[in-house]
Amino acid sequence: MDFSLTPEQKEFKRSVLKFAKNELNRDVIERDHSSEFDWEGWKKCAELGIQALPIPEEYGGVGEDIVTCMLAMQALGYGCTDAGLLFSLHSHMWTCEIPILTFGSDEQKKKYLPRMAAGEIVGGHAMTEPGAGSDAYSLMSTAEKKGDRYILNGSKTFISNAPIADVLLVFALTDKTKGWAGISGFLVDKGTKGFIVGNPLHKMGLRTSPTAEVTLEDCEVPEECRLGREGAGSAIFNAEMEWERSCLFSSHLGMMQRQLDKCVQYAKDRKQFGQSIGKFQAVSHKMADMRMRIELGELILHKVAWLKGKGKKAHLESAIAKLFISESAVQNSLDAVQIHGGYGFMTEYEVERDLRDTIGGKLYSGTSEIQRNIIASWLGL
Amino acid sequence: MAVADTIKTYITTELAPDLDASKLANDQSLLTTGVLDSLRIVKLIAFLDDEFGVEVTDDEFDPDNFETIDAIAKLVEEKKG
Ligand SMILES: Cc1cc2nc3c(=O)[nH]c(=O)nc-3n(C[C@H](O)[C@H](O)[C@H](O)COP(=O)(O)OP(=O)(O)OC[C@H]3O[C@@H](n4cnc5c(N)ncnc54)[C@H](O)[C@@H]3O)c2cc1C
Repeated sequence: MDFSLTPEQKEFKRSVLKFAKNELNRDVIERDHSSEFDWEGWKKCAELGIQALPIPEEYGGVGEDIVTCMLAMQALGYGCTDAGLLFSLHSHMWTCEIPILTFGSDEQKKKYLPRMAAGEIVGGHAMTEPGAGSDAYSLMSTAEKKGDRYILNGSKTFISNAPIADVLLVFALTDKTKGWAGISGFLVDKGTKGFIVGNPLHKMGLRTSPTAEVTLEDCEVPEECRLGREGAGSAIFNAEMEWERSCLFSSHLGMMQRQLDKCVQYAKDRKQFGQSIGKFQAVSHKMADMRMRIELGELILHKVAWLKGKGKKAHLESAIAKLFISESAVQNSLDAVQIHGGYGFMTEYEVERDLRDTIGGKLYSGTSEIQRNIIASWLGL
Repeated sequence: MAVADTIKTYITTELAPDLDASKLANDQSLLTTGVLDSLRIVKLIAFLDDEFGVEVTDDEFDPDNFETIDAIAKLVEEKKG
């Protein structure tokens, strides 16, 4: 395995980092407080080509490989302190663009991808239901076939981007007798009759990324809205989760590096008992552990990228990466608050927000417990 | 060993060891009977890669291709060309 980066990849990462630092950190404290999405930042990302990264040129994208996508998302994680904006980008790219790219018909690709790549429309996906969270395949929403149309009914919750999305990939049962193998995916446009988006939900973190419930009430869509074949829902969901579990968490790594740099600087500057607090082993060892977690997280993500770049499945490896990085991000964020003392607890120092933002990482894309179940099942348990 | 037999042996020894191999017909549904769930399919795909050098793409990771042992064997044969 060769994880070295090409000069172009290094340069690209540097330019994304510079862009993020300069353009994406406007009023983050205030917008976190008022739960406001950064449309300006979204558009600037589109101008730079972020949303276009994984889309091939023929559909208006730049067709970058997964390593380059991950590098860009890592650089954004470092340079951009608005984790909600990044989370919305991730939902858009990995849970909507990638499924359309992988499973969509040519018409669907032409209809959605160029505008998604240009950031003109926003996407997301709707799997979770009030009664079906970790056990996602026990969903109850139905899509009943009537001639050349489907009638969708059911309710979805915790749907990222729903309040701002133009299209959501909605999962529903087309064949109840088949259970998980009877789930299909549908691209449902905003404004479709019977497609009702609730008020934004208030959250502990990632507040600048809007989330809502979605209700489907006799929501009628033409057959052409189905993504892939009938029953392909689980395949679509699995494929998008592999992407999300690898690319989304590369932004966590970027954030963790920024956080560590800030901690190191603070530990050098802050003096107690006549010396820098970084001279106390109890403090410096925390940062050594933070560094170790970043290094290991980076290695496992590179392995996932290497496997996926070779067209291999990375189901086990992406579960390990997701579990390790999400839990490391929470631990590093707790350590960062501790190192900053009381200042770390205060909003204006922008240390506590990382902790609030990272906790969701142990829940979405499959909880930590579910990742451990996946890993255990690969052990034959 | 024929492709279908190799697949059957893997399913009945590794994925569903409680299953009596002699009672599993090659045209019997693996999905409605719960022999394969979505996680076991992922493991089966890794096995097909190791055993036959066949890489199942995301869009081939479709329940229809894994409905029966015959269907899985057909997918493998087609991909081996
Ligand atoms: C910020 C955020 C954004 C999200 N965005 C989206 C989105 O865009 N689209 C979407 O569809 N969903 C989204 N979700 C939903 C997310 O995928 C679910 O919250 C997650 O799958 C867990 O489901 P649940 O919340 O119902 O918890 P539950 O499944 O009820 O779990 C509760 C607890 O029980 C544990 N548990 C459950 N089953 C097991 C088991 N078998 N073994 C061990 N422990 C178990 C869980 O790990 C957890 O600790 C989002 C969630 C969050 C927090």
